[in-house]
Amino acid sequence: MITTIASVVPLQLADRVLISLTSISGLVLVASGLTIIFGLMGVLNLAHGALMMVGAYTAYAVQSAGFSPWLGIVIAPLVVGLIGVAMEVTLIRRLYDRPLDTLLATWGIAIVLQEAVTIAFGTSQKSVAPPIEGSVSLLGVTYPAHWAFIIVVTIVVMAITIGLFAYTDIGIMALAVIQDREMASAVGINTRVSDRTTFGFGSALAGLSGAIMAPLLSVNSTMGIAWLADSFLVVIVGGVGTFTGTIAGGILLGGLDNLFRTVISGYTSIAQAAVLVVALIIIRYRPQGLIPAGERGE
Amino acid sequence: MATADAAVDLKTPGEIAKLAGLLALVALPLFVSEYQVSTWSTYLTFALLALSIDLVWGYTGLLTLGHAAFFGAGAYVTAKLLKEVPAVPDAAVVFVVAPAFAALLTLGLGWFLFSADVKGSYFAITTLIVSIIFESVAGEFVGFLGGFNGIYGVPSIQVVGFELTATMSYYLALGILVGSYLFLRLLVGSAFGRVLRGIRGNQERTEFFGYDTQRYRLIVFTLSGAMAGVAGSMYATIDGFVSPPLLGFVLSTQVVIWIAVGGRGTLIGAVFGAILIQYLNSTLSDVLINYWEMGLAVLFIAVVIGAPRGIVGLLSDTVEGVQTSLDSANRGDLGAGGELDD
Amino acid sequence: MAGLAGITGIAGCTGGGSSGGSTDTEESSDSGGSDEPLTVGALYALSGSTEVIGRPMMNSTELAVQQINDAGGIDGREIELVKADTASDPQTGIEKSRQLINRDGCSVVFGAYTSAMRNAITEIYVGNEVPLFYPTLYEGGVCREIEGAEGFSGEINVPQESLEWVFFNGAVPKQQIQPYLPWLMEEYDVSSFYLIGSDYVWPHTTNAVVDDFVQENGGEIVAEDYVPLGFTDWGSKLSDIQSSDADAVYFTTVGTSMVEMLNQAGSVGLVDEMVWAGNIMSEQEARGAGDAADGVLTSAPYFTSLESEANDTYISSYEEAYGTDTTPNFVAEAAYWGPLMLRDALVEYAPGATSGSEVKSALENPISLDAPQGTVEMDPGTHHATLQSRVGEFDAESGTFEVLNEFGQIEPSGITVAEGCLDV
Repeated sequence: MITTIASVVPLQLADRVLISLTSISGLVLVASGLTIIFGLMGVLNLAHGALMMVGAYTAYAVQSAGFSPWLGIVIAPLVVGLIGVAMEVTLIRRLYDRPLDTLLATWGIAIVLQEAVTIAFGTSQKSVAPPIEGSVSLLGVTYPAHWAFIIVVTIVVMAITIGLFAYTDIGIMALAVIQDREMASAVGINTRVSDRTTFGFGSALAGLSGAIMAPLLSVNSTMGIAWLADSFLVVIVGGVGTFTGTIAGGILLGGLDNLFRTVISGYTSIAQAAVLVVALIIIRYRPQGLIPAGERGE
Repeated sequence: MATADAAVDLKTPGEIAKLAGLLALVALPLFVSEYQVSTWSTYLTFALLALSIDLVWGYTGLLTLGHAAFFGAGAYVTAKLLKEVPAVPDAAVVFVVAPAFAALLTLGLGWFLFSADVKGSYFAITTLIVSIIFESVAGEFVGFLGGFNGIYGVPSIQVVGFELTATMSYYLALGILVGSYLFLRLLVGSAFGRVLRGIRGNQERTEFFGYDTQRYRLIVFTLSGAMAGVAGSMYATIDGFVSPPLLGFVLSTQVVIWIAVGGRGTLIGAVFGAILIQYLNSTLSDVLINYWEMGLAVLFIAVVIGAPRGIVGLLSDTVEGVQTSLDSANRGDLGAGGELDD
Repeated sequence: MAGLAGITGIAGCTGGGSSGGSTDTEESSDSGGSDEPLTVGALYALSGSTEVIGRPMMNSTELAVQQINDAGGIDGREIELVKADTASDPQTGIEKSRQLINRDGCSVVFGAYTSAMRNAITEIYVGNEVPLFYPTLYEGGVCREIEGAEGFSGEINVPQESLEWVFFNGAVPKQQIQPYLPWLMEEYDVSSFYLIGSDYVWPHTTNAVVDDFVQENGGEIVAEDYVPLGFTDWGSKLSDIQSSDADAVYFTTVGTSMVEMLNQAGSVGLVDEMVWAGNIMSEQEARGAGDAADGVLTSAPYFTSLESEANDTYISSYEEAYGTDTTPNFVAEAAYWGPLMLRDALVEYAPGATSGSEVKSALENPISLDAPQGTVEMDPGTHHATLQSRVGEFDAESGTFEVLNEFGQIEPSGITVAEGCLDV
């Protein structure tokens, strides 16, 4: 290991940096929807992974109907956003004051979505083509275009989302509702609509992440489960309720994962478990996360 | 077993139903064939796991999504000892070593989490992570724990050189379950139990009344871990096989679903839900496949939203409705809700 | 490596006839024989993590039984099939095995996928004396001959006691690797290998065999590397592989993890850059990876693209009955010919068999069958099958493998790795 790194330093290093960036971006992108739904709204959405999975299947369905992969990336967030709105209207709305029950109900939704997808699409794994083929030259390395695309999309999505909640009326109203429902209602904000939009937006991001990541993954009905725990960890470790926290969480966990795998090579399960242990310790000793929000609700 | 009814008020329909259920379970081996007895024995061990989770979740408000880790720990330690260390008496493994090992794990984890007042959703997520860690670590140790393939050929329990038959194992599992149920019933009905419900209802207020809630939570979590350990241990001796999924969060979440459907915070609901859903699962899943999973999930969602106290809660409400005119002052433990009144 | 010694063993035993061994002669079985249907179980994953592979297996076994019944059953006796879902969970597998045997009265069961499942349920079959047909490729490496079995053919040494009721009709590593690796090294001019696998018993055993054959043919293993089951993020691992400068990657990763490995390797161009070869990828996973798996090599007893009458019958009737959502593959094919072999064995040796032990005795005869993959034989001594071995290259456009070379029949014996055998 040491010799290989020493002998091919510059190219190899740039290569590894880029690969780590893609892997961190993937984590952050998938977790971004949860930052809104869990981080901001406080909804323990265990269906997050399943929503991501539906996004991936939407991308597959669009492609297999003969349309461009780009269309899949556009349609997936819309479809999943609508599912999110439907979830909010029928179930989540009744449970805002019962966080643990939300957790249970959303786990039920996750199972329903998984089984529905199996019934609709069958059990076989689906192959999804990336929207961009070929490679680009980055930092002196030839790098697959789609892997670079993941980094770019993540940066853009995070920038837009941060901007949305910081500078637009809708975003500011949504934050106001989340922080103080009664006050927001008193000043004339329709809290129902606001909740619905926010939840739908978070779901749409989950769908988008599924469509973007699908070409690198095995698309099947249970694919979301692995991403669910990771997403929660990224959000919690980074700092619940802040987008910069999610980015920091992604960098820490993604980075540690890659680091441990190199250090404890040969025992990748142990390396993965070690990352989880670090996450546990952070949750225990720094429950506000790496980058805490100004004020954190339970 | 009938002597256990000393503390039970036979007048209420709920108690009569429970007793009927118990009699049915006692008589079961007479009516089903031997292979089904083993299957029902595993139902009972999972019912015990459900009971242990209900104590921490239903009564203390701490939703644990990682209890399978302690169930599995009991199962693994039993499998190793029964297979490789015959010098230790089997009964000691099941009733001392397995629960002690699991209790030690819960004690350590409980201290780690409660000392920082980790609760609510954070507690659920952290226990879930612990379960994932256990599962992946067990899968890694191929030589020592059999890795992903697990440990198989775990012998049945022997008592003074005599191997228990499937039916005897069944009655042992039933005895442990009923004993644990009665014990927990006394526990939750006691002053200790009122404090637990106080913690569930409003932890700060309970602390304000001078209770060291951290210690109470630690005790209850450790006790529940020990029960899960016994359940896992019994499971290993009955099925003869342990593997990493026994430690994993999928099992944990499944059991939580059983409890929710049966009725959390009622003890009997956990047992009822666990047995009912496992039975239906084994009879319906071959026929309905995906639709069964889906139907169960829909039922689960409906119960969570519309009937938080599950089937048992619904039944007891119905009975209550009928009985409104009767004296309800000395009703059993079916009432939930925070009742730390003094 | 010895290896071929066993062939004479088989021939010798067959020729020499059998003098009964330790069991009573079964000649009396036709007097106790029955015209009642023979009840047979099928135990596969219809839900859970391995349903993707379990469904084509279940379909294939069901299809075979239907075809047997349509053609008159076992000398007029119908086969009644009882299906059960393991839910990919060993605990459920145990429960369902008990049901199949005790409730439904199955005389033989086809099923199980993964060694974990097989280990979990084997004891039930031993305890109830019912044979289990296990159609999955697996690590082999079991160390003893079966007590009292006839025609023991030498080195493979099978089942530990607990496996004597199991019949293996999937491949053991040697059958896929022995002819494949020398061919691979010569044909593609590769000498250094990067071994990457999922971290459990089968890949470790397979890699030990690969290691042997690579060394024997003058190649070298650059690295032997394992990832957890379900491993997803391949970026840095692919970077390791690339910088190792190996000529070829030999992969024993399984399931979704394999698909994701190929997807990601494909998108960084690594699949084109190096030779990718393995022996567990089937049509199922290859289609899941799509274009990324194009050109990847795999060794298997069977590919859907084979041209033979038996395969045409299999594929066309499969598609007619179950559509094209699921695809047959080499594991499903074994699940298909298992019942056919059972039929042949019973027709010849015990047409009226009802009990598990009668079925077992009938199966412990030299039986040869024209399966979709070609001629297969069950070795009575080891309960393992002599199978075809061939190498295929995946063609993403057609979603099938193009057969590059046929190695013919390979018998299962001689699977032991280096000194002695591995414990399961």
